[in-house]
This record gives sequence, structure tokens and C-alpha cells, in this order.
Amino acid sequence: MDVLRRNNVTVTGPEGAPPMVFAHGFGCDQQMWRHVAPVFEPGHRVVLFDHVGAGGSDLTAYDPARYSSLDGYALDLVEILDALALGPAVVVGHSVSSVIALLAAADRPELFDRLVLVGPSPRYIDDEGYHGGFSREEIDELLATMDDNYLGWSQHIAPVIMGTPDRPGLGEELTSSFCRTDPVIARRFARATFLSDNRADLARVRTPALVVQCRNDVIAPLEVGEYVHQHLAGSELVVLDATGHCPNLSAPAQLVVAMQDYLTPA
Amino acid sequence: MSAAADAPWDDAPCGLVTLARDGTVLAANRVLWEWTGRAADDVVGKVPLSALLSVGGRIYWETHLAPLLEVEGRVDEVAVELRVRDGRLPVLLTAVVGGDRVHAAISSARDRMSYERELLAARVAAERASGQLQALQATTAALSRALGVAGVAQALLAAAVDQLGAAAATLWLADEEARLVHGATGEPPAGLPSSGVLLRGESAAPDGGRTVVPLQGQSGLRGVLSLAPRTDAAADPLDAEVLTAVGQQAGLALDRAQLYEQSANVARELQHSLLAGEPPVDERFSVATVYRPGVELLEVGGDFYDVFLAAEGLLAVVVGDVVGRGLGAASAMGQLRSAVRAVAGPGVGPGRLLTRLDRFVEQVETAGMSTLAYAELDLATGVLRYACAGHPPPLLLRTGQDAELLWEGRSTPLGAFVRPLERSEAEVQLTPGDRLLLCTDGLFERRDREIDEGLALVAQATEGSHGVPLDEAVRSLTSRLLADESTRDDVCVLLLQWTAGDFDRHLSADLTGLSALRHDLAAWLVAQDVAPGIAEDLVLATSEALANAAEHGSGLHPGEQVHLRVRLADAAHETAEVVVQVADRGRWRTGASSHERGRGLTIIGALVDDVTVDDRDGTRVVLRKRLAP
Repeated sequence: MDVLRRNNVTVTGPEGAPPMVFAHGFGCDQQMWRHVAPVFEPGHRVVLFDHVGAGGSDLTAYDPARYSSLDGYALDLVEILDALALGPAVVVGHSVSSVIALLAAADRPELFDRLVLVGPSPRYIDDEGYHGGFSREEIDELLATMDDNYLGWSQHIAPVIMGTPDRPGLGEELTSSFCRTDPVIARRFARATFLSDNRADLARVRTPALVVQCRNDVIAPLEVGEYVHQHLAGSELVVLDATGHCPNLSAPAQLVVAMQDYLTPA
Repeated sequence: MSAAADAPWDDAPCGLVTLARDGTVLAANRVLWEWTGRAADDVVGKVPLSALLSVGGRIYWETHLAPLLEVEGRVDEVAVELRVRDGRLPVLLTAVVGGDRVHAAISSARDRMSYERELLAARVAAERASGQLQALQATTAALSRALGVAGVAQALLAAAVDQLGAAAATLWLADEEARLVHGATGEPPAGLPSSGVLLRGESAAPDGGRTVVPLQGQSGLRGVLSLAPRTDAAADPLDAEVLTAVGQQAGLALDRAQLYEQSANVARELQHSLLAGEPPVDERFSVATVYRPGVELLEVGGDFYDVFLAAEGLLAVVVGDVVGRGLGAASAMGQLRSAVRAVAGPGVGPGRLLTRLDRFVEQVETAGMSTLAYAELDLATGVLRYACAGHPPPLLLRTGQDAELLWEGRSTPLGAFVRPLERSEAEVQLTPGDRLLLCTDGLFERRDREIDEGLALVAQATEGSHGVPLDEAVRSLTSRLLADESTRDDVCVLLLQWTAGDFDRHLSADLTGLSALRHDLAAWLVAQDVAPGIAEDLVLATSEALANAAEHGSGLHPGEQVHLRVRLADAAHETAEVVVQVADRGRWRTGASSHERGRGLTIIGALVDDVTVDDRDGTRVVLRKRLAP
């Protein structure tokens, strides 16, 4: 098993520079970092990858048992870091990948220098004394929505994405895989993401972390970001004045500044 | 600004909406307001489009559609749900980025979605059925490959986790005495399944947090399988239909396994009783045997051995292999083994014995194509005559020489011989201490190994076995060659050693001929495989005892005689020892000479392990020295 091929790992930036690994969240692939990662390339060895099932990953490596919980994805991250052997890395995780990075850092702290967690949520479903933002019924509704797009995504929309001439000038290579996930894999990933409860894992993490939270995020509400910050020893919290769950696309400049301030304090 | 009356887009047959790049609704047509029942003033400039969608749609927007719009500039025909006055309306949403705006068209898809959901349900059902079938097939295959009740239990527990998606599995089986035995993979449940669940019949049923599967055999409940579901967020739930089917398969597999074990037990007991029996006892030979039943198959094979006296002073050894397995083979083996004893006898010889067995297997067809190696040893002379009917050749192990395969005297398996040709036989002269190894092919034959290669390995494994007691030698040889546990055949090995007779001499009391006798004794001891150092001690001690006897017992009188008898006792065992007996007709004398005689015994005592003196009728001194250090 070639881990680097399996996860479609790309490495850029000068050799020997401190490593920085970007992990994309649920839904899309490493292109999510297109506005952020290039900024760090001059001073870092920048590593991008796709989770198995997403983007340009090797679909034949998908094992339902391994990926039935986030632990399987965390193991992948550890294997990538082991395979690259670049030394302790700054790992930037978006959305569910911030939890995946936390799990990996708890198990193999020596592989991690610092963590940047963008929109993390250790549990999406409300619980006694905990506001995750969603009820169980609402998550079931999400899963149903994914089912409704089961046929659509796999059969109708994909060719449209690939071949429409009147779209803004984006390269064929870039567009062919973006946000296209095998529907069965996507559904299982959704269940692993939205049905997991990783609150207890926060206490296992010793790696310093920056929690980045959007002011108006319907998926990871502000109080979830605060919860993570409070339960994660040695963490800092930055709230971006941005809307939505994907500041890496919608507010990349703010995100980059927050990261730079954290990683290289004046 | 948005809801200007009679704007042309208000009459469009779909909802139209303009958004800011961050998703905030800037304008919408009347259709959208009517669907959502929201007032334009509450929404425009304040609320993102995703807020008008169901929660699922909202998450989908955030995780998929917003990134797609950002990167691709458009999304086409995405199925989401709009929150409307009386619930949710399935819609298809198409959106395209234009400058700092996003233009979206939303069309009702109530009919299309219900059609697509039917399609989806059909597809999901088909995929589920295919998955069920796959799990069931894999489990059934594993169960049918398993041997014996323990094998079925193991296969079932493995399949529960590997194929059926359980986190842990516990199995209870009723054994023959109706006791419950159980095995488990992973965490077992707190207690037995509740009886109510078991009485409810033949289907898998929930019991607490677990699922209980009855294993129904032909004649009733054979056992119960209890499965714990996996708790991973994305794990599939246990499938009761598949588990019910597996329960039925497993019940039948347990039926089969039990029948099979009963038959195998009968065969094994039969075989055991057929191989039982003590070999004849004679100081001139030792024999050690190993019989090991096949390790993978519970069935017994048809391997056998026998050791008997074919005539006075003529030892017969045989190792054979009857084709087939199970009860039939065991019974044929018993008949053939008896037949060998029946047809062997004075003046028959190995070749003619095989010819007679050919006639025997014409009558007893199940013994046809059996192979065997047969040898007769003249215990007085050491002449060995042997013949092989399609069987691996005997291996001759001579002291200080390489092992030698006896390739002569070969012919075809029993019953495969074309008459009137005679079966051939061959002859070899043994010297005292020589060993002969007979075995069945299970000892060395492997799927990926040539026969010659296997025989060479046997020969190699015997290196350095001289001097090792016989039963230890045959045991270590067998365990070395079978160390690769891949063997599934049964194995039979027989090791014979000819030790010739005792060393029996009379010596004149004037001690003439003592040095010749010492020389002969030394040679005899070496022939018995006695180590040189031990042989030297023995010769010295014996010589001292002889001198002692001649001097003090017989007064060195040339007319008197001293009797020496040396024999090897327990040759096949770790307790092997040389026993020297020196007898004279004299008696203990008194005074200085008695003292000197006593001193002689002290010297002897230092050289051997044990000295006893018996002077009830003449004087007999018995020396014992063990061969193992």
C-alpha cells in the first residue's frame, strides 16, 4: 500500500523547510486550500492530501470497516506523516479534519508541532449541557438529503461539472474531481462525521493548538468553538469576522493572518 | 427593492433568487415568497438562502454547494428541500455566479423526487440484497470448509465479526452430555440470552443490546449465537434476515460436524485397537515406533506398522499405508495387517509374502493399491531381507556412515502387480548396532516437495542419531520432520536396531587369552554403539574383575574357568546400560587376600556406576554402567 498514492498526497515548498500539512473537511477535497496553502509555500514544506473516498484518492483503498469511525481517518493521517518523515508538522485541519487531527495528535504527539483547527466540532448533536447545534432528527435529515442526491451526484451532475464550456476559466484537472465523492462513501463519511462524539478525546491532546471559528457558522456555532478552546489545554481561540463554515474559501485572507499571527508571533 | 409588483420574473414558473457572494438573499421572485411564506422584508439583506432550506440542505449548502460555487462558479440541479408553509418542498436548485452576485433558480421537484426516491429505494434494496447474499455466501463457505464441531464454532465466530459486521460474538453449544460449552470473540455478554428470546423460534431477535441467533439443527436447537453490534458512528446495523439464514446454516453445519466426529471417533478407536499390542521381546533387537494421526483432518488414515516373529529367531517388521481415510480405511488396514501376519512364516520370505498379499487384496478390494515395506531380520546372523510394494524405501543407518536408502527389492503397490512376474526382494548384512528406519510418506511428503527431496530430508534428519536411545531418536526425528505443521496426513515411523547377542566367553583361570578377550570385548562394545570413553572404562573394569576372579576365586588354576557375560540392557531407552557379569566358583577368602580383592572392587567401583557381589553359589560380580552421561 502506497500511502502517498492512496491519499493523493502532494508536497510543495522548499525541501527542509518546516512541514505544514493541510487536511480538508467533509464534502470536498484538497482544493479547499487553494487560497490558503500557496501563501505558506515559500517558507514551508506544504503537504496536501485527499481523504480516501474524496478527490483524487484511491477509491479501491476504501474499507468500510476502517472508515466507519474517524479513527480510520486519523490513522491515515499518521501513516502519511510517518511516510513523509518530515519531522513534527503544523497540521491544519478544516471541519471534521480538525477532529481527525486531534485524534492523531493524541495518539502520536511526536509527529505534531502545532495544530490549527478551523471550525472544529467534537460533537454535532446536542447533549445534556452541551450545545452542538443539531438535533438527532436534523442530522438524519442531512443523511436523507445526501441520499436524495445519490443519483444526482453520481450520474447527472458529474458530467456537467466536467465538461461545461461556459463556466469560469478553471482548469479541467482542477474541476474534474472537486466535491465529487462516491455517494456510498460520502454517506458513510457523513455518518462518521456527524454521529461521532469525540469530546472526551480533547483531554488526551497535549499539542498546542489554534482554534479558528467563524462568527456566523451554522455547522459549528461559536459556542462549540469556545467549548473546544476551553477543553483543549494550551489552545488559543480566534474568531473570524466571516460567515459560513468554509473561511478557507470565503475569507482566506483573514484565516491566513490568524495563522501567521499564531505561528510567527511578532 | 426586491418585490416590486409585476416584475416580469414574478410570473416565472420557478423560484428565482439573487444572492450576495456570501449567500445572503438580495432579491427573490413572488414564487419563492409564496412557497416559503416568508416576508421579503424579513429576509432580504438579512438571511442567507441556506436558512430557507431544511437543516440537511443547510449543511449540504455549507459543505458542498458554497465551496462548489466558490471554486466552480456554479451548481446544477442539486436536490435540496425548501422549508415551506406546510412542511418541506423538494426542489432542484441551479445556481451560477455572476460578478459579485449569485443567481439561482429553484424548481419544484415533488414528482421528480418521489420518482427518484423510488429509484433510489430500488437501488438501495438491490445493493442491500447483494451485500446480504455476499455475507451469507462467505459465511456458508466458511462453515462448509470447517471440520468438526470445534471447527464450525471457530468459523462461525470468525464470520460473525468478519462477514456479519458484529463487534463481538459469543457462542453457546450444547455438547453431547447436554452441557453448555461456549467460545467468544471479543467481549462476552453479561449472561446467557433470556429464555424468552430463545423460545420465540427460529429467527434472529434482539436481546438487550445484542442480537441473539438460534442455531437450529435437524433435531432441535444446537446452540445460540449472541452478537454485539458495532458502535462506530458509520457502522452498518446487524441484519436480522441474514443472521436468521446464517443460524439455519450453522445449525445444519453443526449436525454434519457431529455426525462426522462420531464416525471419526469410531475409526480412531478402531485404528488404535488395531495397532495395539506389544512387540516380541528379545535382547538381540530393539524397536521404537511413532504413530501420529493427521493434524488437520479428524479422519484417521490407513497407516500401520507391525513387529512380530515370522519364525523362531526371525523378526518381521512392516510399515504400510492403505489407500483412503476413515472407517473403511481403518478396517482395511486391520485386515491387511492380519493378513501380513498370516502369510508370513518360515521359508516364505519378503517377495513371496507380497505375492500372497496380492492374492489377498484380490479378495479384499478395499486393501488394493496399499503400499508396504516388509523386512525380515535373522536375529542370529544379522541378515536382513526386505521388499517394498510401492512404498518409500527403508533407510539403513550404520554407525559412522551416511544413511543409505535401500532401493532394491522394489515392486508396485499391492494388487497392481501383473502376474506371473514374481515380486522381487533384496538382502543386506547388518552389523551389530545398525539401525533400520521404515516410514510412511506422511513423514516427508508435502505438496510442494519432490519425493527424492523428501527422502533426502529424512536421511539428513537422522544424522547424529547414533548413540541416541532408540525411542528418543525416533521421536525427535518425527517432530523435526513434522515441525512445519502443514502436514495433514497421518504418519507412521518404525526404527529397528539389531544389537546381536550377548558377549559370552569363558576364560581360563590362568588368564591366557585375556588380552584377546579384551580386544574382542572392545570391538563388541563399539558395535553396540557404546561411546569410546565408556567402552574403555568397561574394558578396564571387566579386565580387573576377570583378574580378580581368576586370582582370588580360582587361584589362577589353569583347570578352572571364569565366565564372562556382557549384555546391553534397555538399549532403546535413556536408561540403557551395559551389564557385565563375571562368575567363578571360588568363595571369599579371609585375611589379606580378601582385603586385596576388596581393593580390586574399589578400582572397579570407580570405573562403573554400580557393583554388586553375590557369593551364595561361587562368586558373581555384576558391574553396571549407563551409556548416557
